Amino acid sequence: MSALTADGPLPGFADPVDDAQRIFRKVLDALAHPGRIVAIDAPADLPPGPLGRAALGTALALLDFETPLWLDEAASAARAHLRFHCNCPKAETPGGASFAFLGDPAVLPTLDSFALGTDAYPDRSTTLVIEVRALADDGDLTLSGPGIEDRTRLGIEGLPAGFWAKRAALAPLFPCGIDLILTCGDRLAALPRTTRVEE
Amino acid sequence: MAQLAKAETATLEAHWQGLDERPDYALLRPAETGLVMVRGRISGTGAPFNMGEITMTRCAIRLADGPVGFGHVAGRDRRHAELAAIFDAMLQHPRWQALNSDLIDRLAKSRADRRQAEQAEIAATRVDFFTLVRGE
Repeated sequence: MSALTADGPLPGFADPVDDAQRIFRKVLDALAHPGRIVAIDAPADLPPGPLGRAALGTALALLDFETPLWLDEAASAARAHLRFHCNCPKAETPGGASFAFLGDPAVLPTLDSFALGTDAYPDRSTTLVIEVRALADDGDLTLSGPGIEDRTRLGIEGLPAGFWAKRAALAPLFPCGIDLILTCGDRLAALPRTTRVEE
Repeated sequence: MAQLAKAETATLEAHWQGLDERPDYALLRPAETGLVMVRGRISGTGAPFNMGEITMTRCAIRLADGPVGFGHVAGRDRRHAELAAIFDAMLQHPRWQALNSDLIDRLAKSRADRRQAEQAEIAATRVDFFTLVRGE
């Protein structure tokens, strides 16, 4: 049963309700504790492209018909799969998306081309899910802010140079901003807009 | 799809078991039961209205080499939805075009026969009222 051709949809969660709730809980945990790396164990089948299990599991758990999805060139092989399972509309521009999945962070669009939300509705912003080359507990980034007792460390490989400076430039716009979910294979860490990152 | 959805589960199961060669398939969306709103139109052509919700079971499968099949059936029979999805996918595959004559035509005929028998039974008790002015 595993001889399915690569294009087109593949099976989603084996147990849609339990898997989606468990992964929702893990993503929530990651967002509440910025820098904490959590492991995602579903779905079993992955469409072609760079997106790993953590990114796909997050997509299957969080996307639905009300969340326009933007995929970069590298991740677009997963579109048919996500469209089938989540029924999510396609966002024509990054700014029209509730979720953006990026398979190749090297060609990341500028952060302010995504939706930042408005002062009245800061929740109407794009959540970026970026597949990075490596995630480590003890890296060269120092994180502080809500959800972190003092300071914590995180290592991320694969983001373009100058990324953190551009992200920091959005901080004065709070409550507007962009939440990041960084995925690497089966693991993910989250950096909500409130987290301060020092290199 | 309509013929598959309205067929008896036993008929589909028998045909599936009777196949010489059964394709490999994967469940994209295992059979699940939910509610759908049935809409109608007043007198068939008027304004649409919501008639009520019915229980429906849906399933989506994919054959090992390509086509995706969907089954939507009224009721809670999960196996029926799965079989309908499998046959729907097979009908899109050049290898199983014979199903059109082997199965679908047979289902259509047995349904038409059933319907005709039912109508004949009802027609037997028909009463024509004779009045001076018919209320038409």
